[in-house]
Amino acid sequence: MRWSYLIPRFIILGIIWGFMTYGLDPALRYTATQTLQAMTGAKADIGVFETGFFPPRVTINSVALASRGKPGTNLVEFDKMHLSIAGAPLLRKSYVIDEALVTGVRFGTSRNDNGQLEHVPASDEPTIPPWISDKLKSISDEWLDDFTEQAKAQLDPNNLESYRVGNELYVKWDARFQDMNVRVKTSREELELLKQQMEQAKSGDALQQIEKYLQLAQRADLMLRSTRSLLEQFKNSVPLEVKQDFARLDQAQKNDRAMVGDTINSLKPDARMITESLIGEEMYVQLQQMLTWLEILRSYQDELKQPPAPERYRGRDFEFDILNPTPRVLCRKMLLNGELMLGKTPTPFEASLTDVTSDPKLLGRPAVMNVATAGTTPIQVVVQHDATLDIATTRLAADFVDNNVQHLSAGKADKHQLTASLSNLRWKARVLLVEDTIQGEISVVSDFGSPEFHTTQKSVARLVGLTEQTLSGISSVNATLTMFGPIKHPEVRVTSDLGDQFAAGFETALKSFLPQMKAELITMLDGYVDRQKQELSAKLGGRYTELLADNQKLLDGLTQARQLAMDLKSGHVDPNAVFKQVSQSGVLSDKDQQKANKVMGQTNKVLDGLNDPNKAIIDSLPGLRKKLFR
Amino acid sequence: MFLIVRPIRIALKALICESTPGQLALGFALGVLIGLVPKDNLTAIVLGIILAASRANLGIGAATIVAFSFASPWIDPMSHQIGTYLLSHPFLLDTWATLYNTPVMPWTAFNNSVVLGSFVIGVALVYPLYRLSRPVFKLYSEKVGAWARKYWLTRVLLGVEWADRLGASG
Repeated sequence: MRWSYLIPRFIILGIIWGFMTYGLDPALRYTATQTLQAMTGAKADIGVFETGFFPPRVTINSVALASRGKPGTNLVEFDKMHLSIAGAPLLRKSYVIDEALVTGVRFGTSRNDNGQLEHVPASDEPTIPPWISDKLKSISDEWLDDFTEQAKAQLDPNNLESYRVGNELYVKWDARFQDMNVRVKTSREELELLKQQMEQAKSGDALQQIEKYLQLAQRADLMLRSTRSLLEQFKNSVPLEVKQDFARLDQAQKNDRAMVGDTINSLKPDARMITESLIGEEMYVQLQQMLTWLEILRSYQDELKQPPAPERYRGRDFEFDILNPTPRVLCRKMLLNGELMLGKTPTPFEASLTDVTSDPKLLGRPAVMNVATAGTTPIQVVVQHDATLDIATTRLAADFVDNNVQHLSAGKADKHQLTASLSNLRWKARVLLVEDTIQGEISVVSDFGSPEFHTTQKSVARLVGLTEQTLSGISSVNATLTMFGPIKHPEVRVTSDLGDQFAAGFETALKSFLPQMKAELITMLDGYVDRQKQELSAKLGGRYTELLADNQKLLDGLTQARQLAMDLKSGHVDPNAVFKQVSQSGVLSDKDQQKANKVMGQTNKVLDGLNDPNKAIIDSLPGLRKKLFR
Repeated sequence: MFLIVRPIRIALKALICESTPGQLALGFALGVLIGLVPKDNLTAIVLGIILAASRANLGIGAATIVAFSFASPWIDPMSHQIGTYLLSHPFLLDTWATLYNTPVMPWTAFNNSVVLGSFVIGVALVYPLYRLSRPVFKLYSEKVGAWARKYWLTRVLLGVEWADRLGASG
């Protein structure tokens, strides 16, 4: 036996066997760790790496991949991964995993160390896109303030035409009456003066009395005409004008009633603003979450396509046609189970991943991921990544039920605030990614309840109560966020019947509130207008009567003055006696006496007809006056 | 003690003493071949198995592998050119395609230009190196054996055999 030949060979075999038994797994473990660290940029911990050849299989236990962006946190961690590798493709250097099972998957768990690699530069993890932050900031609650302030403004009486017209009429007639009072007062004073002068006229001699009486009569005549004119005005034009003004007031009332209907339409808040204010933030948060996860998946996909290049590359590999081509790396089916953190609640999930490969075009089938969770918030997600064509597309479909109550709020507690709650939210997302563009929609249907509307302004308290009543009739709402454009900053539009329902609720409340309030206001104004009319009528009537009485007094006074003048003729102051006295004094010649008689006759006529006797005397007897009154 | 020492002694004798110049030369030639070929493929493993399975001197072979592994980067450009020429030659494409579709063959990395080129260079050099190195080993093998016996460890390990021979001759 040539031991010298066999023993060295046995030693070599022993070394090879020892390496395969005890060294291969640690070497593969080291290689896998380095590869994962190169992919993630952070530490990768692998507990146990076991291989088997018949059949080919790999079992990896206790794997934790640290997060590059969050020190001290794992990106993903799982308890065990078992890979069943297909033998035939393996002989042709294709790694085809027939089935993989990953158990105990958890995301975002904490680590004992920071998990960072010193030599790998940090890169940015997907964060909240800035445009979403801007969008969230721009959502405002001004519509609620505008609604209540405008409703309050509608209750301002100055906005009502009847109020304005009523005030205007009051001011106008008050001024008119004041003016009339002044005129009557002036006339009364003139009458008093006239009476005094008439009394004074009695004290003089006959001719003086005649002259005075004639003067007084002239003045009385003028006053009488003025007073009669005023009386005419009172009797004819003033009542007509008042009637016209009252008709104007009635028309203003009618205009106010007609204006209410138009006002409601203009006060109805914008449904889009309501939607953005109440539900926009929640929609944008869901959008941000979805975009973040899409970015993470895309970054992983890029890493798989470009594995880290070996440190030493020698030569060039020539590819030849393969009869039954198989992608270099293919995972036909991978089953995962573990826990997801939804909100802050650990939720068990199960997922399956099929046809994940390094060469989708060769495989001819898209990669599909199905994720389903159990628990109180069940989620169903299906992601299909189709890179079989020149342009890769990714379709995401997610159905998610959130049984947690979401609270909606608009406005501020110190002014106006509208709150409500959404429960049993059924989310649905359908998104398509083509290269760097995204399009799709996220929709939600939910139960609506507990609407409450608070305000610190008492003037609109009834409106607030009515609005609450109408909003409580809303039982369900739906909202849809539609997006289109580049994935970094897509165009986003939120539509919802929530806004329409709220706007309709506000409109209904306004339809009840405004007419009621306006009816009350108009009733109040009707009373006000009626009072004004009554006051005007009373004043008009009262003053009219006063003015009539005053005018009557004036007329009486004037008549008295006239009577005095007539008494002059009738005997109280006899003009013949005056003439006799004058003729006996020899003052008047016969010729003058005849003229005086003529004048007396004219005077009588004047007194009767109230012509201008003074002037007649002066004109007829220009010299007599001088003689009589020398 | 005997069971541990004896295998080591036998292995050492095989490596140093009991090799003909032909075995030494064969070990050297195969060592050059394996040294030139990149090691991260099945080709290098198979060549190593061939070396181990043959009667070539493993010590010389291992030493030659190590030495020419360090020298191979300087030869890579030529290997790449030869490999590229062969892999893209129209006459051989069908052959390569058949080999590529044969199970296990892709693991040999024969479709890599440097692997194929260095393999071809190595194969081409096996016989010339064997013929050229054989007289050299014949000339120096006795001197190498005498040199090795200077070391006390060698004498200790080989002492029993020498005693046996002396006993047998006596």
